[in-house]
Amino acid sequence: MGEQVRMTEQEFLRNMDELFEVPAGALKMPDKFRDLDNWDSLKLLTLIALLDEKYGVILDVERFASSKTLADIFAIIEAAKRSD
Amino acid sequence: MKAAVTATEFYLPEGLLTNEDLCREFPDWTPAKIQEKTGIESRRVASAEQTSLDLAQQACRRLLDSGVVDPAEVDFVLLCTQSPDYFLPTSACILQHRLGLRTSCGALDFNLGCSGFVYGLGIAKGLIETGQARKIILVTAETYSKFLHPHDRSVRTIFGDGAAATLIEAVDVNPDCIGPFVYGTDGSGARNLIVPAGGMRDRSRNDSTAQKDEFGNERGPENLYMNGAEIFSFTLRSVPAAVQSLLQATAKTLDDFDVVVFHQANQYMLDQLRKKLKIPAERFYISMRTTGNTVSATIPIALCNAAKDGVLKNGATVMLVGFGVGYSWAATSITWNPLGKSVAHHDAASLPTPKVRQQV
Repeated sequence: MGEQVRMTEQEFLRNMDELFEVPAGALKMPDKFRDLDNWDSLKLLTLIALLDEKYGVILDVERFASSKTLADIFAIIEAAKRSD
Repeated sequence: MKAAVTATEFYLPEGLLTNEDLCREFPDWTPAKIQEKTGIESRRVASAEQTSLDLAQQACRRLLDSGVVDPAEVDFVLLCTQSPDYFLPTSACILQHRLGLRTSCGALDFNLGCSGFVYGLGIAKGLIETGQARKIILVTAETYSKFLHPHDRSVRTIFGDGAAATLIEAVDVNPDCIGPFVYGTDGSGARNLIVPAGGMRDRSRNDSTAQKDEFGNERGPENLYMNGAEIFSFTLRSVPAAVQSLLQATAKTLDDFDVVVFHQANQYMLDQLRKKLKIPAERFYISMRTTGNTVSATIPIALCNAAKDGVLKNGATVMLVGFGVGYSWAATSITWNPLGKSVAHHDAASLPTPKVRQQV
């Protein structure tokens, strides 16, 4: 079970690397995504599309407003999947 | 007697706003990036003196000049706008006079955004199929540019001005040519796409209160505010469900539709919806590269372009879906121009040579 969570986290981080156009493995869970160079309103739309496409999760934007780190985004995905 | 959509024409103001123009004002974006994320290269913007009523008049002039309908036979004008010339009177009443339509013509405005064209078809069908009207012009005219703060790139990249005039007539056919309809409303999303001031709740008109948001976009209470992320999420939630309801109501599958036209919100969002719904790209008509999001005018503009391109043929079964500000959404199925009425769309080369009267 723990192994599986780590795998999912790995995959999530790879998706984030791609989203933010940084080398694979560059981003870590505690990273503050709003401080990243290319974070803007368009990146947010791309993130919404990615979460829908890869995780079947439609972002709860209100909840997202208070998230700071990549781990926070990951938690939103996990919560949405549990409530399915 | 059934109501049917038989023709549509549109008018765009002359003012051009290209991605290059925008990038001179917002240097950290490139024209290619705006194009990639919106599918828009340029938009048209009304001049300071030009209003939604002026655009509406031009679009109607084009429809009437195409010869599809005798102005004397038009017995109802429906006009959809959120940027009217006045609080009162009603734009549609002034339009009746400007177009020289008969005074026994009914006219009303209704206030909806991106879902407005589909709602207008619903109203028109009701008027025609209950015998209240026979030839209706449905006008969708918008000048959102007048609401936009010049330093708000989140909306200046998306919205363009324009108007469309669509003819809906009573035709002597048996099967429905418009409908069934799926309607939807969720007013809890009102604050996510809003012009907060200018109406009765807040009559202040003071540009000095403009503030910057987390992405550096500036706006005041009299400007349009769009929470793009919320709107995108709303769309992903509501549009696929509306399409599924329409398929159930029509007992059709996506394969039964020759053309699918969604409100042209922004191409990135449309591509996402198309993939999610598994609609084949060749039947999913997109037409916003040189017009942008013209709110309630996008669907008829796309229909007009699709007819000119030959993508939309007479008698085609078409799915229309409008969604946005409100939140409000609606979906319907139409049979395009079921009697194959000819319009002046053919190019000059295909016109018959006029007969020269012999001199006596």
